[in-house]
Amino acid sequence: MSEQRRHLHPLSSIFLLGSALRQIALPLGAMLFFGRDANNWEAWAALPVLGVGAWTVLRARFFHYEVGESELLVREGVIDRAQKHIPFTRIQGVSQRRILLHRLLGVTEVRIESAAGGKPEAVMKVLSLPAAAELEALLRDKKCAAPATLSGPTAAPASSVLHALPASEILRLGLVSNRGMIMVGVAFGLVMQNDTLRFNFGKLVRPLVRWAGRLMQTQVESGNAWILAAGAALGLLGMLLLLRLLSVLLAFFRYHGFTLARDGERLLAQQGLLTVVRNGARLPRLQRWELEETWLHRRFGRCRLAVSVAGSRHGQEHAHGASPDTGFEELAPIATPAQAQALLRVCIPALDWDRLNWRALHPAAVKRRLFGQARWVVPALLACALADAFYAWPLPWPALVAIAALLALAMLWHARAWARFGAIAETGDVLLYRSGVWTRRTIVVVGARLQNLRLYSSPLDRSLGIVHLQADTQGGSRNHRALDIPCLGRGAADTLRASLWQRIQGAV
Amino acid sequence: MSSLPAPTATSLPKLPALLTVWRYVYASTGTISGMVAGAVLAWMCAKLGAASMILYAFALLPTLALGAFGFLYAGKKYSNYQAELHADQGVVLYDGVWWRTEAWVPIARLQHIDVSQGPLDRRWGMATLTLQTAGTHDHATRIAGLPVARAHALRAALLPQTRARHE
Repeated sequence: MSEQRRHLHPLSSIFLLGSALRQIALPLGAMLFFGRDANNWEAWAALPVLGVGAWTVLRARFFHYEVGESELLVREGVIDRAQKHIPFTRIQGVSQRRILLHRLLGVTEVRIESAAGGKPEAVMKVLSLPAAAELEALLRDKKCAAPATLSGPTAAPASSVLHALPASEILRLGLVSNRGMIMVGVAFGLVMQNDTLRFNFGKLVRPLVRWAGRLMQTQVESGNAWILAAGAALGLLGMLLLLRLLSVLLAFFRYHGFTLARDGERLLAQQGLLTVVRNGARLPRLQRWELEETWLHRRFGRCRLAVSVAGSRHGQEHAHGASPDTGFEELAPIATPAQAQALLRVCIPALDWDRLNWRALHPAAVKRRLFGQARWVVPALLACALADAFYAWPLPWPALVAIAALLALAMLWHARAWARFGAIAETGDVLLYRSGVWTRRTIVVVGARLQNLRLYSSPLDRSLGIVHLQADTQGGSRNHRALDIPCLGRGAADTLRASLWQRIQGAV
Repeated sequence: MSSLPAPTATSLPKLPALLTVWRYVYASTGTISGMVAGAVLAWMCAKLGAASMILYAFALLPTLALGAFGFLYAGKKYSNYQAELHADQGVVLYDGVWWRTEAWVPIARLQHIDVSQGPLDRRWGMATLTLQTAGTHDHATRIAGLPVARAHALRAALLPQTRARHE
């Protein structure tokens, strides 16, 4: 029965047409714009649309797939026929994405992902919900059937919910997150890049600025400095509140109905208000966990647990808007520390958080942080002092000295706080590193899954007798290393490096 | 480096031609940036109305100094540069003058290995061995200055182990 050919949902051509139209939108727009003075431009514009429409109908008709004994067979193409054989052992995840229109029509877009990362192996655009569920079940059964001899009697345990977010938690998530600010920043950048948008934005904002300026002038002239200051403070507060409100709204769009469930060795995360996304990842494919606690998180007694998965498109397909990312990136967008630790325990059974033996970094860490910051701050201060002297001291020098002293104190406090919290811990195969002052991060890696190790030292590090221990994992971010522990004593770093090296050797 | 290599470690050879290449590269980079700096200085002196002899000295000084510095830097980099093969375990590369790294690449994680030669390399029979792992940030480790035959031999020696471990 499983050998039979399956087609896409009859409505598929609508969605294929949608994505095809997005590709020809530019030439079509140009045509509409330039061809407007021609008499029958509508007819001319309809031609390519009709052509593309017919093409997508054909493409949807010719796409079909079969679930074989050991592989998934996908056939597609109208003129250039392509056959893709995807062995079940290579399939690492099946994710689903449903925009609002999908949900109204009761269909879903299914992506089959392999370990290679990058583009998905196959995209089924679109399947009906029962067909998608059937495909997922078939793939799961086949995958389980293959290594069954190894894992013994896996009686396909019913999926259990590990973590869910009620509305109150999503509200907290929105209050903590900075997404509103990022969104405004991105929108501002877009407006500034486009000439007409910038012009209109200027027209909108200029009267406001002028009104504020006039208000300020009258207040200053009448000597009401306090009213002015209070007004400015209120305005700032209002702006912050608005940004937080936007963040909360975005959080509801992205994380509404978030559930993380476990199905055997697979984790499934589902989230989204309008666009619903379902991502899956297998437990052994998880590479690195990051427990993040910003200052605001700690005020609410919450944290965030992020994860990177081997072969994921991490950091490439980030959506800033309201729709959730496709990609398994968070085990818990927000959770209490206890919940996060329980989730970590699911991924790494050997990790017992309460029995961790945290070891502080090298005592020279304070100096390292202090010198590291002073290298930028001191020249900047000197430049300020020089500029001040050049313009005949508009800021009197005692004030400058006071500012420098305050800055030095703040830096000393920051460096000491950083060194106090910074620590590493090892239990069995697991290595943990925590750091941070305002935002505290705990990074968890499994020694046997590391890719390579590096010891790095700058001249300052060597003069203090310390080194960095760095490690790389699969599927992490391209922008920063999976693990970078600064301020380890040379001896401690060598011991740690040697033990991790042994774990990598013995892992296979 | 203070860490003692394991007893099974063997140092990989580096050709003196690598020093020559680095001397060319660093000395010419230094000279060119020195020339730019000298030109700027000379222009500033001319603006301030300095004598012409001083002007030439100003233009020459940074050129010579930075060129010589590049030459010496290449020598220091070459003497610090060392690759080690730890039998059945992996390859270690020591590199850097001020910012020093010690990269440990396990054989068990090697995805593929490339041997590459630039035009200057071919002239001196030198090759670069690139070790690729599946990581995302430091996935490629390049070992420069190997004799061509040794690079190919290393590639052949490391590959069967890679395959055996992946299957």
